[in-house]
Amino acid sequence: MRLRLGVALTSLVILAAACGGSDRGSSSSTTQAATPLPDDQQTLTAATPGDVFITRNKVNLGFWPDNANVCETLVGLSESLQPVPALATRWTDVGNNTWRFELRRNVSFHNGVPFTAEAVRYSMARAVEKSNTLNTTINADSTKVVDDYTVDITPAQPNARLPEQIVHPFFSIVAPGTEPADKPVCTGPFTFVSYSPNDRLVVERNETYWGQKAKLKQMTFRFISDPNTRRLALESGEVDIEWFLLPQQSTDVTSRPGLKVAPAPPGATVDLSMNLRGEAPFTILQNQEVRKALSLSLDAKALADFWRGTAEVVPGVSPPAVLGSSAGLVKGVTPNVQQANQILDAQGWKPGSDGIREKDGQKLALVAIAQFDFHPDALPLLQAQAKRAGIDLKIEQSADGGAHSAKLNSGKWDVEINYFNQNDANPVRIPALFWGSKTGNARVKLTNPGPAFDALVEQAQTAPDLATAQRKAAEANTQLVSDTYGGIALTNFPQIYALKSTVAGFSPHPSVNHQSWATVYRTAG
Amino acid sequence: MTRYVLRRTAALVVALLGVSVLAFLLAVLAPGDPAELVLERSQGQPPSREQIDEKRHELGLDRPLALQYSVWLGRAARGDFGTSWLRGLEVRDAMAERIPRTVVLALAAGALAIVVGLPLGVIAATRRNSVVDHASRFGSLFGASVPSFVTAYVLIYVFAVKLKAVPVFGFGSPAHLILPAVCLALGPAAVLARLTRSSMLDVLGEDYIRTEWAKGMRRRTVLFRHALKNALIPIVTVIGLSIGHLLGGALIIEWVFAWPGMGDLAVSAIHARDYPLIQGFLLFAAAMYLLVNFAVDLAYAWLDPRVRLAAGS
Repeated sequence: MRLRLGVALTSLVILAAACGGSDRGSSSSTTQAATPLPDDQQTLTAATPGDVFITRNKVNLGFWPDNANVCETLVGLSESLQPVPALATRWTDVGNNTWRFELRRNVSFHNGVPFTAEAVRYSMARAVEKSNTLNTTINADSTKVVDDYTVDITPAQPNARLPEQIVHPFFSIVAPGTEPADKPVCTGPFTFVSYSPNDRLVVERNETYWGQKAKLKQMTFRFISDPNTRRLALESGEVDIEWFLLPQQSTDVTSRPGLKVAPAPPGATVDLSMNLRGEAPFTILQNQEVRKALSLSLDAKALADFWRGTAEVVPGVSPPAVLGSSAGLVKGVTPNVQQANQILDAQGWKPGSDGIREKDGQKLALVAIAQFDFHPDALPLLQAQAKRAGIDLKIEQSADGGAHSAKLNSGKWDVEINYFNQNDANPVRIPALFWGSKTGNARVKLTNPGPAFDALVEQAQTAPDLATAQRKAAEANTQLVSDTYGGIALTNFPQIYALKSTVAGFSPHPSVNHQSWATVYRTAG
Repeated sequence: MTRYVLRRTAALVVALLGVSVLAFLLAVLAPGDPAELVLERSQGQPPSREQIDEKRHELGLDRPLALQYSVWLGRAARGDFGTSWLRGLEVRDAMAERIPRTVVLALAAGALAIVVGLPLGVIAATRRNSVVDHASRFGSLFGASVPSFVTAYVLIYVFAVKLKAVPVFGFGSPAHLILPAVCLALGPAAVLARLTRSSMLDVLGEDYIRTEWAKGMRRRTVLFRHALKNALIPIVTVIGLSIGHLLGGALIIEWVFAWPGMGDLAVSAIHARDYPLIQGFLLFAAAMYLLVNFAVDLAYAWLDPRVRLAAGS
């Protein structure tokens, strides 16, 4: 009896000691050792949120949404969100809505077959067959082989932004006759080894890669849906890196010895869309002055601070980098609560006893619907900021994407809180897709700020050169956020990686779909 | 006995039909347009109105509800639950891949619950008000009241992160099975221990047990051959319900431990509004639950002749 009790008590003591052995509060130790581990130890395990490749029966296995760097596109997307040569070394507009791509020579697929124009034709036709064309308007006959190392691509409709759009991994070039769902055979710095649904994807270094070879010998992507488990797996050492860390977790991670965080530069923006054509009672924001007041009441800097510095203030809905040298042209809104209050006073909205303004017996209460995966902790902050101007943001966070779309399409809302990804180098992608009337998305019938905005979007879409497109996109951003106040841009959406301090060479890409692993390596620590 | 079995079978079929109606309606009446969601997931950007209409037609969502249900039920009866909208796989195939993993986890957890809960209950009953009894009752209360995901995180932290005795997540080796099975077993083990204790206490107070003690029968014979067997009926019920529940997929535990079973499949299907998969899962989970209950009903009749007689009359 005593023995059993003793065993039970000892177990409890061990349990308590282990639970109490937290490193919380200990000093951060994220020093990187410079000495790389020997090549046979250059293996890395990454935790990713669930098996993202099973969508549509593995059509994009290995390259989207997680990018294992098995495949490459004709045009790459740099960390400054600019189009850069990849499998195409040069591209030119040859007229008649046709783009000519000159292909890189001396490149082979992982199966040893040389990379030629036929592979581009095959891959583009496959993208069409798999409905992976996004807004490029390319069709099955769009790609013509000119010679072994030259292809012409002619979209079905005029599209001056094609080279910037085909940086998306959907346009990955695969070996002719192969199907990624069975086994991705491409040209990337890593070759496919194995895939076990809902468990792992394994890739290894491509020893015959045309560019700089990957430093890692092998990389394994493990699928873990639960963010807490991912976090514990990192701490236990079972994985070396994880992403989609919550901003609130970042401080905790940096306080743990041996771990560090790496926030990505802006690649997705946190934006508020206004319902400009709602039916009563969702008509308050049809008044531009009220929209302006709401915009002035929200302080993006406070939101960035709340997110522990893992986000930056952005002036427009497009990430600044994608606008290139025109980024500075975007005229954002400088928060000013006093001015917001003055505007609302002038509009006849008088403060009520509860601090919320009223006019003709109507409260200045706005239904704000938030996307389901928006960080919920930040919503009360926005609510409190609006309240300083006497605006009551009644926030309803959707249960999932379907419920959010349903609410959005119903028109029964005043403000939408969401984040939008810039997954390509098209500078006008976000304004066009979420506010432009030509995209045909259901939401834009409520959010489109009018013909002046549409004209700028159109000019950006049809500009013959990227610099002009960037300038027009910057003007469209200004038109949206500070001319019509049809949208509010706050910060980038935090995209945070947590990794072991012994992992070196990692540089977070603004677009998670374009993350490069070739420069990453492990050090002795 | 035959009549009893036939009546239970009829009840099983009616219950399954009821579940099929609910499964169908729950999925269809939930807010949000699945066509739009499917397109957005696969394209990575919002679809146009034309694309949504086309997809709705392709998925049969523009047909009357009654027609959708009758077509779906007819196919489901043949084991064809359609194609997963998100995965592009046959639902049957997606489930077939997952079911063995859930069965392994459920059986391991069920066995653990029985091995721990049953003896604990017997010991607590035979040593009433002793330290062991108090500890067992406290442990049972704790096990039954703490949510399994809380236990899961604590156990992961202690045994995987700190002690590195077992892996944090995944499947494939017996070591991977330990933590999820323990977490799943805690609740049923606690309930079993409490129930076994109270049931045993009732039986131990019966005259025939007192007579057996008075006759000087061996302790083991009295406890296990006579007392426990008679205390088993409510315990078998709980064991059946627990295993039926576990076979339906342990949603939270599979999610936390990245155990790719039916529960994990169901959670991802619900997130994606993958109706065919949700419907297939609901029918599977209900069928498991009902079948195990059916087996428990049959076990009653075997364990207790009064049940057979009552059913016959």
